[in-house]
Amino acid sequence: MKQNFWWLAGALCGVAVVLILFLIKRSVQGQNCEYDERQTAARGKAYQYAFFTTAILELIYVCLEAAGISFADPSMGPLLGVLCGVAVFAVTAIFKDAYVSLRESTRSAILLPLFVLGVNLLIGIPKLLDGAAIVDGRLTFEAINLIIAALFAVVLAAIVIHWFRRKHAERDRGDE
Amino acid sequence: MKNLRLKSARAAKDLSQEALAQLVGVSRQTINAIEKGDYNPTIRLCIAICRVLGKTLDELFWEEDAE
Repeated sequence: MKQNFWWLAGALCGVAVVLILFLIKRSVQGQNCEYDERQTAARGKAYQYAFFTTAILELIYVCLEAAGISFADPSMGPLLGVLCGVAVFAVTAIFKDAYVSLRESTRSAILLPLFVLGVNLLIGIPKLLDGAAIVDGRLTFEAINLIIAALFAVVLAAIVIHWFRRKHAERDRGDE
Repeated sequence: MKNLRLKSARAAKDLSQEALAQLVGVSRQTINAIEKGDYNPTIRLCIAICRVLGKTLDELFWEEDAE
């Protein structure tokens, strides 16, 4: 009970810190996320793919649990579907040129995923090494940092691949 | 279908895709997608582009029947 209280308090503190940082950034820089009409439509499509990915993965997880095949704790399994949905949204938006808003640069869009990836790897790798992330062949909630790191690694890879493809295409075209 | 009329009107004004995009308030990729025929802009964006390039909607966006 006492452990649950501290866990919940820690989670709430984390959310509060992120919220405060977001509000400070917004008050300093103004509304930064402005997308044009094509980007808005593309992001809508990306949300659609993400929604169906999450729904299908949650269904698969429930079916596997019902069949007695368990690869993750109940606190971790459903989160995997949600995080995969987030990855599908981000990658789709990146490849449709709808991830970076009008006022952002690709460079600034790379910094946040890079930071989150680094922090989560720092926290997650020790948990993997001391065996807390996988117990009896099942993912525990302790693996969340590694899963988030993997998600942001995918996002970063997509940004870099798309950036190189775009540069290559522009060079071939000799600019407009 | 590629919009070559838009591309030539933009070139006639000596504007890059990036410059036109900034003038009409969209991303460069959106202008590129319109010129390549990958995206159909809304009437609002069509009008904004026409105003910047000094052309009419017919001149830039009207497609004659293929027959």
